[in-house]
Amino acid sequence: MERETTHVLWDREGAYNRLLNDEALLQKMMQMFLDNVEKAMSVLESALSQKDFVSIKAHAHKLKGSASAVGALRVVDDCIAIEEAADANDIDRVESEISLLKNDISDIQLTMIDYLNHNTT
Amino acid sequence: MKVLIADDDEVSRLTLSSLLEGYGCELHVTKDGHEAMAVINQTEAPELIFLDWNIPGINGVEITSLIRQNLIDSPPYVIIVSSNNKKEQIIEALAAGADDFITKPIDGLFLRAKYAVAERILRVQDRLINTNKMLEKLAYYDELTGVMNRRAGIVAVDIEIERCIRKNELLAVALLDIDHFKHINDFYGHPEGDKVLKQFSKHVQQTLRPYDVLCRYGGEEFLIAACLKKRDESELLFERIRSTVENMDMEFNQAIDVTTSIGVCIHQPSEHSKVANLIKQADEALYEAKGAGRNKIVTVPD
Repeated sequence: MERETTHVLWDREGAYNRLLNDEALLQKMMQMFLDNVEKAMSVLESALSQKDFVSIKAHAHKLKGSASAVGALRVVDDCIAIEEAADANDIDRVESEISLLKNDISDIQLTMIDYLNHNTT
Repeated sequence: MKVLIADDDEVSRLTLSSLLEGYGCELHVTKDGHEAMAVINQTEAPELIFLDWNIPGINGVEITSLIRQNLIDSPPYVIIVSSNNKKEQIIEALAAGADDFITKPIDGLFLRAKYAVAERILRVQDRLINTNKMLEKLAYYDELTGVMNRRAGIVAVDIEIERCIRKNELLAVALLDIDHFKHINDFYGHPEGDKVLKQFSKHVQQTLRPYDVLCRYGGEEFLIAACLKKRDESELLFERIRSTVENMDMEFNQAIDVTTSIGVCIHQPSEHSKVANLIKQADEALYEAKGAGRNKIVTVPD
Protein backbone atom coordinates (compact mmCIF):
# COMPACT_ATOMS: atom_id res chain seq x y z
CA MET A 1 0.00 0.00 0.00
CA GLU A 2 1.54 3.29 -1.12
CA ARG A 3 1.17 6.20 1.26
CA GLU A 4 0.59 9.60 -0.22
CA THR A 5 3.02 12.29 0.78
CA THR A 6 2.05 15.91 0.54
CA HIS A 7 5.27 17.38 1.82
CA VAL A 8 8.36 18.59 0.01
CA LEU A 9 11.59 16.69 0.71
CA TRP A 10 13.22 19.65 2.46
CA ASP A 11 11.64 22.81 3.78
CA ARG A 12 14.83 24.82 4.19
CA GLU A 13 12.98 28.11 4.37
CA GLY A 14 10.76 26.93 7.24
CA ALA A 15 13.74 25.64 9.25
CA TYR A 16 15.69 28.84 8.57
CA ASN A 17 12.78 31.00 9.76
CA ARG A 18 12.27 28.93 12.90
CA LEU A 19 15.95 29.46 13.73
CA LEU A 20 15.42 33.20 13.45
CA ASN A 21 17.31 33.37 10.14
CA ASP A 22 20.51 32.00 11.64
CA GLU A 23 22.15 30.34 8.62
CA ALA A 24 25.21 29.21 10.59
CA LEU A 25 23.03 27.45 13.15
CA LEU A 26 20.95 25.82 10.43
CA GLN A 27 24.08 24.47 8.75
CA LYS A 28 25.47 23.23 12.06
CA MET A 29 22.22 21.38 12.70
CA MET A 30 22.17 19.97 9.17
CA GLN A 31 25.70 18.71 9.62
CA MET A 32 24.74 17.13 12.95
CA PHE A 33 21.67 15.54 11.34
CA LEU A 34 23.81 14.12 8.51
CA ASP A 35 26.37 12.80 11.02
CA ASN A 36 23.69 11.00 13.03
CA VAL A 37 21.25 9.80 10.40
CA GLU A 38 23.17 6.68 9.30
CA LYS A 39 23.36 5.45 12.88
CA ALA A 40 19.68 6.25 13.43
CA MET A 41 18.87 4.19 10.34
CA SER A 42 20.95 1.22 11.47
CA VAL A 43 19.39 1.05 14.96
CA LEU A 44 15.97 1.27 13.36
CA GLU A 45 16.79 -1.62 11.00
CA SER A 46 18.21 -3.64 13.85
CA ALA A 47 14.97 -3.12 15.82
CA LEU A 48 13.06 -4.17 12.71
CA SER A 49 15.05 -7.39 12.40
CA GLN A 50 14.13 -8.19 16.01
CA LYS A 51 10.51 -7.15 15.45
CA ASP A 52 10.87 -4.99 18.54
CA PHE A 53 7.94 -2.64 18.05
CA VAL A 54 8.65 -0.57 21.19
CA SER A 55 12.19 0.07 20.06
CA ILE A 56 11.11 0.74 16.45
CA LYS A 57 8.66 3.35 17.67
CA ALA A 58 11.18 4.99 20.02
CA HIS A 59 13.89 5.27 17.33
CA ALA A 60 11.46 6.52 14.69
CA HIS A 61 10.20 9.10 17.19
CA LYS A 62 13.70 10.33 17.96
CA LEU A 63 14.60 10.60 14.27
CA LYS A 64 11.34 12.48 13.70
CA GLY A 65 12.47 15.11 16.23
CA SER A 66 15.81 15.85 14.59
CA ALA A 67 14.40 15.62 11.04
CA SER A 68 11.71 18.14 11.89
CA ALA A 69 14.32 20.53 13.33
CA VAL A 70 16.15 20.70 9.97
CA GLY A 71 12.96 20.71 7.90
CA ALA A 72 13.34 17.20 6.41
CA LEU A 73 9.57 16.91 6.05
CA ARG A 74 9.36 13.68 4.06
CA VAL A 75 11.57 11.95 6.64
CA VAL A 76 9.21 13.27 9.32
CA ASP A 77 6.22 11.80 7.42
CA ASP A 78 8.00 8.45 7.11
CA CYS A 79 8.77 8.41 10.83
CA ILE A 80 5.14 9.17 11.72
CA ALA A 81 4.02 6.30 9.45
CA ILE A 82 6.56 3.95 11.10
CA GLU A 83 5.37 4.97 14.58
CA GLU A 84 1.77 4.25 13.56
CA ALA A 85 2.67 0.91 12.02
CA ALA A 86 4.68 -0.06 15.11
CA ASP A 87 1.73 0.93 17.30
CA ALA A 88 -0.42 -1.44 15.24
CA ASN A 89 2.26 -4.20 15.51
CA ASP A 90 2.13 -4.40 11.71
CA ILE A 91 5.58 -5.65 10.74
CA ASP A 92 4.94 -5.61 6.97
CA ARG A 93 3.90 -1.99 7.08
CA VAL A 94 6.87 -1.10 9.28
CA GLU A 95 9.14 -2.78 6.76
CA SER A 96 7.68 -0.95 3.77
CA GLU A 97 7.73 2.40 5.60
CA ILE A 98 11.36 1.88 6.58
CA SER A 99 12.20 1.20 2.99
CA LEU A 100 10.50 4.49 1.99
CA LEU A 101 12.42 6.18 4.78
CA LYS A 102 15.70 4.83 3.41
CA ASN A 103 14.98 6.37 0.03
CA ASP A 104 14.00 9.70 1.53
CA ILE A 105 17.06 9.73 3.73
CA SER A 106 19.25 9.04 0.76
CA ASP A 107 17.57 11.94 -1.12
CA ILE A 108 17.84 14.36 1.79
CA GLN A 109 21.49 13.44 2.34
CA LEU A 110 22.32 14.27 -1.27
CA THR A 111 20.30 17.48 -1.18
CA MET A 112 21.78 18.70 2.09
CA ILE A 113 25.36 17.75 1.20
CA ASP A 114 24.98 19.59 -2.08
CA TYR A 115 23.59 22.62 -0.25
CA LEU A 116 26.40 22.59 2.29
CA ASN A 117 28.99 22.26 -0.47
CA HIS A 118 27.69 25.38 -2.15
CA ASN A 119 26.68 27.50 0.82
CA THR A 120 28.98 26.77 3.73
CA THR A 121 29.18 29.83 6.00
CA MET B 1 18.18 32.21 35.51
CA LYS B 2 19.30 28.58 35.78
CA VAL B 3 17.79 26.61 32.88
CA LEU B 4 17.83 22.85 32.28
CA ILE B 5 17.40 21.24 28.87
CA ALA B 6 16.89 17.47 28.82
CA ASP B 7 16.68 15.80 25.42
CA ASP B 8 18.28 12.64 24.06
CA ASP B 9 18.38 13.99 20.51
CA GLU B 10 21.54 15.96 19.76
CA VAL B 11 19.93 18.15 17.09
CA SER B 12 17.07 19.09 19.42
CA ARG B 13 19.52 19.91 22.21
CA LEU B 14 21.49 22.13 19.84
CA THR B 15 18.31 23.87 18.64
CA LEU B 16 17.11 24.73 22.15
CA SER B 17 20.49 25.65 23.59
CA SER B 18 21.40 27.84 20.59
CA LEU B 19 18.06 29.62 20.59
CA LEU B 20 18.36 30.26 24.34
CA GLU B 21 21.88 31.63 23.99
CA GLY B 22 21.87 35.34 24.52
CA TYR B 23 19.00 35.18 27.01
CA GLY B 24 21.58 35.52 29.78
CA CYS B 25 20.62 32.23 31.39
CA GLU B 26 22.86 29.58 32.92
CA LEU B 27 22.26 26.54 30.69
CA HIS B 28 22.54 22.93 31.84
CA VAL B 29 22.09 20.37 29.07
CA THR B 30 21.46 16.67 29.75
CA LYS B 31 20.80 13.60 27.61
CA ASP B 32 18.67 11.38 29.84
CA GLY B 33 16.22 11.41 32.70
CA HIS B 34 18.68 10.39 35.40
CA GLU B 35 21.16 13.13 34.44
CA ALA B 36 18.26 15.60 34.46
CA MET B 37 17.20 14.48 37.95
CA ALA B 38 20.77 14.95 39.21
CA VAL B 39 20.68 18.61 38.07
CA ILE B 40 17.16 19.09 39.48
CA ASN B 41 18.26 17.68 42.85
CA GLN B 42 21.19 20.09 43.15
CA THR B 43 21.00 22.53 46.08
CA GLU B 44 20.06 25.26 43.68
CA ALA B 45 17.46 23.65 41.41
CA PRO B 46 16.90 25.06 37.90
CA GLU B 47 14.10 27.61 37.69
CA LEU B 48 13.10 26.78 34.13
CA ILE B 49 13.15 23.22 32.77
CA PHE B 50 12.66 21.99 29.21
CA LEU B 51 11.95 18.25 29.27
CA ASP B 52 11.69 16.12 26.18
CA TRP B 53 8.80 13.72 26.72
CA ASN B 54 10.68 10.67 25.49
CA ILE B 55 14.06 10.96 27.16
CA PRO B 56 15.45 7.59 28.26
CA GLY B 57 15.71 6.64 31.93
CA ILE B 58 12.86 8.61 33.43
CA ASN B 59 10.66 10.29 30.85
CA GLY B 60 9.81 13.98 30.89
CA VAL B 61 6.30 13.56 32.26
CA GLU B 62 7.50 11.26 35.07
CA ILE B 63 10.18 13.81 35.97
CA THR B 64 7.50 16.51 36.03
CA SER B 65 5.45 14.47 38.54
CA LEU B 66 8.54 14.01 40.74
CA ILE B 67 9.27 17.74 40.60
CA ARG B 68 5.72 18.57 41.68
CA GLN B 69 5.92 16.11 44.58
CA ASN B 70 9.31 17.25 45.84
CA LEU B 71 9.99 20.87 44.91
CA ILE B 72 7.00 22.45 46.60
CA ASP B 73 8.55 25.51 48.23
CA SER B 74 10.06 26.96 45.10
CA PRO B 75 8.61 25.07 42.14
CA PRO B 76 10.41 25.41 38.80
CA TYR B 77 8.59 26.26 35.57
CA VAL B 78 8.40 23.08 33.50
CA ILE B 79 7.90 22.97 29.75
CA ILE B 80 7.40 19.57 28.09
CA VAL B 81 8.89 19.38 24.60
CA SER B 82 7.59 16.74 22.22
CA SER B 83 7.25 16.03 18.52
CA ASN B 84 3.76 14.71 19.25
CA ASN B 85 1.03 17.28 19.47
CA LYS B 86 -1.97 15.10 20.18
CA LYS B 87 -4.55 16.68 22.47
CA GLU B 88 -4.43 13.72 24.90
CA GLN B 89 -0.66 14.04 25.29
CA ILE B 90 -0.77 17.76 25.98
CA ILE B 91 -3.48 17.16 28.59
CA GLU B 92 -1.46 14.35 30.18
CA ALA B 93 1.64 16.56 30.44
CA LEU B 94 -0.29 19.45 31.99
CA ALA B 95 -2.09 17.08 34.37
CA ALA B 96 1.30 15.75 35.55
CA GLY B 97 2.22 19.29 36.52
CA ALA B 98 3.82 20.81 33.41
CA ASP B 99 3.31 24.54 33.03
CA ASP B 100 3.52 24.52 29.26
CA PHE B 101 4.01 22.35 26.19
CA ILE B 102 6.12 23.01 23.09
CA THR B 103 5.86 20.96 19.92
CA LYS B 104 8.90 20.15 17.81
CA PRO B 105 10.21 21.55 15.54
CA ILE B 106 10.97 24.39 17.91
CA ASP B 107 10.26 27.83 16.51
CA GLY B 108 12.56 30.59 17.76
CA LEU B 109 9.86 33.27 17.95
CA PHE B 110 7.46 30.91 19.70
CA LEU B 111 10.19 29.91 22.16
CA ARG B 112 10.97 33.56 22.89
CA ALA B 113 7.30 34.21 23.72
CA LYS B 114 7.08 31.10 25.94
CA TYR B 115 10.32 32.08 27.69
CA ALA B 116 8.90 35.53 28.43
CA VAL B 117 5.79 33.94 29.98
CA ALA B 118 7.97 31.65 32.11
CA GLU B 119 10.07 34.61 33.27
CA ARG B 120 6.94 36.58 34.17
CA ILE B 121 5.37 33.72 36.14
CA LEU B 122 8.65 32.96 37.94
CA ARG B 123 9.04 36.63 38.89
CA VAL B 124 5.52 36.71 40.36
CA GLN B 125 6.19 33.42 42.16
CA ASP B 126 9.45 34.78 43.59
CA ARG B 127 7.71 37.85 44.92
CA LEU B 128 5.00 35.70 46.51
CA ILE B 129 7.57 33.42 48.15
CA ASN B 130 9.53 36.38 49.51
CA THR B 131 6.40 38.08 50.81
CA ASN B 132 5.29 34.86 52.51
CA LYS B 133 8.70 34.48 54.12
CA MET B 134 8.55 38.04 55.38
CA LEU B 135 5.01 37.57 56.74
CA GLU B 136 6.04 34.33 58.40
CA LYS B 137 8.98 36.10 59.98
CA LEU B 138 6.81 38.94 61.19
CA ALA B 139 4.32 36.46 62.65
CA TYR B 140 6.93 34.56 64.67
CA TYR B 141 9.90 36.85 65.19
CA ASP B 142 10.49 40.19 66.81
CA GLU B 143 11.32 42.65 64.07
CA LEU B 144 13.90 44.64 66.06
CA THR B 145 15.94 41.88 67.68
CA GLY B 146 15.27 38.93 65.35
CA VAL B 147 14.52 36.58 68.27
CA MET B 148 11.08 34.94 68.63
CA ASN B 149 8.20 37.19 69.60
CA ARG B 150 6.11 36.60 72.72
CA ARG B 151 3.42 34.50 70.98
CA ALA B 152 5.94 32.19 69.30
CA GLY B 153 8.00 32.03 72.51
CA ILE B 154 5.05 30.81 74.59
CA VAL B 155 4.33 28.07 72.02
CA ALA B 156 8.03 27.13 72.12
CA VAL B 157 7.96 26.85 75.93
CA ASP B 158 4.98 24.50 75.62
CA ILE B 159 7.01 22.36 73.23
CA GLU B 160 9.91 22.37 75.73
CA ILE B 161 7.53 21.17 78.47
CA GLU B 162 6.58 18.21 76.26
CA ARG B 163 10.24 17.50 75.51
CA CYS B 164 11.13 17.54 79.24
CA ILE B 165 8.26 15.18 80.05
CA ARG B 166 9.49 12.75 77.36
CA LYS B 167 13.12 12.96 78.50
CA ASN B 168 12.31 13.26 82.20
CA GLU B 169 14.29 16.49 82.47
CA LEU B 170 13.84 19.71 84.41
CA LEU B 171 12.78 22.92 82.74
CA ALA B 172 14.17 26.32 83.65
CA VAL B 173 11.95 29.22 82.64
CA ALA B 174 13.57 32.61 83.13
CA LEU B 175 12.58 36.23 82.68
CA LEU B 176 15.41 38.69 82.02
CA ASP B 177 15.07 42.42 82.37
CA ILE B 178 17.65 44.94 81.17
CA ASP B 179 18.46 47.02 84.24
CA HIS B 180 17.70 50.75 84.08
CA PHE B 181 16.57 50.50 80.49
CA LYS B 182 14.28 53.49 80.87
CA HIS B 183 17.30 55.52 81.87
CA ILE B 184 19.24 54.30 78.80
CA ASN B 185 16.33 55.35 76.56
CA ASP B 186 15.90 58.70 78.29
CA PHE B 187 19.57 59.56 78.53
CA TYR B 188 20.97 58.23 75.24
CA GLY B 189 17.78 58.29 73.16
CA HIS B 190 15.56 55.58 71.70
CA PRO B 191 17.84 54.69 68.76
CA GLU B 192 20.61 53.84 71.25
CA GLY B 193 18.04 51.96 73.36
CA ASP B 194 17.13 49.90 70.30
CA LYS B 195 20.82 49.14 69.73
CA VAL B 196 21.09 47.94 73.34
CA LEU B 197 18.11 45.62 72.81
CA LYS B 198 19.70 44.22 69.63
CA GLN B 199 23.12 43.72 71.21
CA PHE B 200 21.59 42.23 74.34
CA SER B 201 19.52 39.63 72.45
CA LYS B 202 22.47 38.82 70.17
CA HIS B 203 24.82 38.17 73.09
CA VAL B 204 22.23 36.19 75.08
CA GLN B 205 21.41 34.08 72.00
CA GLN B 206 25.11 33.33 71.49
CA THR B 207 25.49 32.31 75.12
CA LEU B 208 22.54 29.91 74.99
CA ARG B 209 22.68 26.39 73.59
CA PRO B 210 21.16 26.11 70.09
CA TYR B 211 18.10 24.28 71.38
CA ASP B 212 17.25 26.74 74.18
CA VAL B 213 14.29 29.08 73.68
CA LEU B 214 14.76 32.85 73.66
CA CYS B 215 11.99 35.35 72.99
CA ARG B 216 11.38 39.03 73.50
CA TYR B 217 8.61 38.92 76.05
CA GLY B 218 7.86 42.63 75.83
CA GLY B 219 9.73 45.95 76.07
CA GLU B 220 13.11 45.18 77.65
CA GLU B 221 12.00 41.79 79.03
CA PHE B 222 13.17 38.52 77.52
CA LEU B 223 12.05 34.95 78.21
CA ILE B 224 14.31 31.90 78.19
CA ALA B 225 13.33 28.23 78.45
CA ALA B 226 16.05 25.61 78.85
CA CYS B 227 15.79 21.86 79.47
CA LEU B 228 18.18 20.71 82.21
CA LYS B 229 19.48 17.30 83.18
CA LYS B 230 20.45 18.59 86.62
CA ARG B 231 19.40 21.58 88.68
CA ASP B 232 23.05 22.82 88.89
CA GLU B 233 23.08 23.52 85.16
CA SER B 234 20.66 26.39 85.71
CA GLU B 235 23.06 28.35 87.86
CA LEU B 236 25.89 27.86 85.36
CA LEU B 237 23.76 28.84 82.39
CA PHE B 238 22.20 31.98 83.86
CA GLU B 239 25.40 33.14 85.54
CA ARG B 240 27.08 32.83 82.12
CA ILE B 241 24.35 35.00 80.64
CA ARG B 242 24.46 37.57 83.46
CA SER B 243 28.22 37.85 83.19
CA THR B 244 28.18 37.99 79.35
CA VAL B 245 25.75 40.90 79.47
CA GLU B 246 27.78 42.69 82.13
CA ASN B 247 30.96 42.36 80.09
CA MET B 248 29.62 42.78 76.58
CA ASP B 249 31.21 45.30 74.30
CA MET B 250 28.31 47.47 73.26
CA GLU B 251 30.01 48.75 70.08
CA PHE B 252 28.65 52.27 70.57
CA ASN B 253 30.29 55.66 70.41
CA GLN B 254 29.76 56.10 74.11
CA ALA B 255 30.20 53.53 76.85
CA ILE B 256 26.86 52.32 78.18
CA ASP B 257 26.90 49.97 81.12
CA VAL B 258 24.31 47.28 80.62
CA THR B 259 23.38 44.64 83.17
CA THR B 260 20.47 42.25 83.52
CA SER B 261 18.38 40.93 86.37
CA ILE B 262 17.20 37.36 85.98
CA GLY B 263 14.31 35.52 87.64
CA VAL B 264 14.38 31.77 87.16
CA CYS B 265 11.75 29.16 87.87
CA ILE B 266 12.97 25.55 87.87
CA HIS B 267 10.22 23.06 87.29
CA GLN B 268 9.74 19.31 86.82
CA PRO B 269 7.23 19.35 83.94
CA SER B 270 4.17 17.14 84.00
CA GLU B 271 0.97 17.02 82.01
CA HIS B 272 -0.48 19.58 84.45
CA SER B 273 2.27 22.15 83.80
CA LYS B 274 1.05 25.54 82.62
CA VAL B 275 3.33 28.01 80.84
CA ALA B 276 1.53 30.98 82.44
CA ASN B 277 2.25 29.65 85.96
CA LEU B 278 5.93 29.15 85.20
CA ILE B 279 6.23 32.67 83.78
CA LYS B 280 4.39 34.08 86.81
CA GLN B 281 6.88 32.40 89.16
CA ALA B 282 9.83 33.59 87.06
CA ASP B 283 8.38 37.10 87.15
CA GLU B 284 8.15 37.02 90.94
CA ALA B 285 11.78 35.86 91.11
CA LEU B 286 12.76 38.68 88.73
CA TYR B 287 11.02 41.20 90.98
CA GLU B 288 13.06 39.84 93.87
CA ALA B 289 16.32 40.07 91.87
CA LYS B 290 15.62 43.71 91.06
CA GLY B 291 14.77 44.40 94.71
CA ALA B 292 18.07 42.86 95.74
CA GLY B 293 20.00 45.49 93.82
CA ARG B 294 19.77 44.32 90.18
CA ASN B 295 22.41 42.47 88.09
CA LYS B 296 21.43 39.39 90.10
CA ILE B 297 19.87 35.98 89.58
CA VAL B 298 17.07 34.73 91.81
CA THR B 299 15.88 31.15 91.38
CA VAL B 300 12.63 29.64 92.70
CA PRO B 301 12.07 27.26 94.27
CA ASP B 302 15.29 28.10 96.03
